[in-house]
Amino acid sequence: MQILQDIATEYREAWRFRYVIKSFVSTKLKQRYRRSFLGYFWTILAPFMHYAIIGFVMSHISRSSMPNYFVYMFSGSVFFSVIAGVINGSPMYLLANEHFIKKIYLPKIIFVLNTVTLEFVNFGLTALSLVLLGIVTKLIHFSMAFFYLPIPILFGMLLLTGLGCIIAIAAVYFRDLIHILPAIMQAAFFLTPILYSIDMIPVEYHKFIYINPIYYLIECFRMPIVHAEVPPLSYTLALVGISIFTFMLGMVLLKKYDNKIVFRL
Amino acid sequence: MAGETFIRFENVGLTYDLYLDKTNNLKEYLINKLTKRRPVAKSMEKVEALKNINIEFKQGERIGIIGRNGAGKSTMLKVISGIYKPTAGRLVVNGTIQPLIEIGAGFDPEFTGRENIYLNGYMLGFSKEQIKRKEAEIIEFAELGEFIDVPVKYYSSGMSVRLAFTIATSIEPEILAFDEMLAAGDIEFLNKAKARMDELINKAKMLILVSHDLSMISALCTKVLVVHQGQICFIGTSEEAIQYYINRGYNT
Repeated sequence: MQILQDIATEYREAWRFRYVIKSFVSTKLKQRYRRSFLGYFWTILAPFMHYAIIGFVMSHISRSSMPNYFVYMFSGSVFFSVIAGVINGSPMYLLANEHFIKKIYLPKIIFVLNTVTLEFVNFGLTALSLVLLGIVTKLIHFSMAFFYLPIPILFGMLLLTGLGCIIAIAAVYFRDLIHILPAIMQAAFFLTPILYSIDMIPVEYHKFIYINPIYYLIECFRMPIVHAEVPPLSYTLALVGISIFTFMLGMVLLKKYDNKIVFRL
Repeated sequence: MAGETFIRFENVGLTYDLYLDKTNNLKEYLINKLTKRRPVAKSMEKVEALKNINIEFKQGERIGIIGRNGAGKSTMLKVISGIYKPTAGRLVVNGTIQPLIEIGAGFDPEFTGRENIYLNGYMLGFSKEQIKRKEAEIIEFAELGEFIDVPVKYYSSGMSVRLAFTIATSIEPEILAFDEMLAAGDIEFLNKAKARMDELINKAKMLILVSHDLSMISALCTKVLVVHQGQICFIGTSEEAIQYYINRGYNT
């Protein structure tokens, strides 16, 4: 298959330029932390305050009887914020790098990997400290199910790399995507069980949850933390299937438009 | 003096779509679809930037490419450097290549000068050790001093040109390819820059120069191509080619 070979070549090339990604991520992280007063703590503090407010309001409005509501809501929101971060940023992956694409040879996947890696490193740091905080305050109990967590994270990266490619290419042709996406992601935040759980909504609406790909991603990440159990196999399979499909779609599109983008930027 | 083949064009062609309508947002696109209105009669045009190029460049050659604006000179350079991929034929490139298409191409203005040295180096395919060895020399040559740890967006244009030029010329590629040349910096730096450029040219195993400056071409190149409308229409020594170019009236 020619296309598979092309995709493999793209990644071999990306590997050759891996230091570009490394240097981009470490410089961005340094910038974010070094040039602010509280440094690294901002990455935890900012989302913490944000979700603490939502959590406080929600737990009063819905009078949720759910035990561990805060942990439930936090783990879902933190993972959602990395998804939203990648998707909201992705229209600029190629557009903002026009000056590189037109003047220097780099495999285009680099521009996607740069930001996906940055978002996930950032997420890793935030998640790690929140989990530690949870364990110290005895809200989270460490269990063997934690060893399942690399699966949603890795497949999440795969999914978002694919999605990032698709949106980045689409944005070259439709530049107003950048204004539309945040609204869509805002809707997605409320349509995905993050602030509420699937048991809290009527059964006839469950089908809308089951067709939401973000749900599987979040649920697979949340279950081990909140309930200390490994998600059912069907959830894992749905996640793996959706991720591989989206990733491949993104790669095929990227290869298809690889040589056209530079003339349309 | 000609050795192994470094670059080989086999029937290379490059065609791309030039969009005439400016519909590049979803809103207009959808409105046009819904109202079945076409904004312009013809929304796209095929542009043949390169046609059927067949040529070999060998080690030791000093190639010059001349031609009118829009003839395809820079496109050839961009194809060689991999920025554009040929849509027809095949292009083989052996050896490391360093295209200087535009000074400062790999800069991120948010990064400091030092961070940009690394970023730029990595983008050109160099390892951390290789860049580290050059770092001090680059900072010294570019005369940046303590500004090296300030984000590039706060640099004066002279400073960023000096840094960009120094980074670009601090790597020693086998194939050196460049388009026009720098035009900023103070007189003193210009002289320094010229000396550095000459040294780089002497070290390179092969040179490809795209320029409108015929005296520069005749001083540096031994083999010159005249490009017109995406095709090579003459290959010869620099005197012959320049003669041809001027006689044909392309030089307008």
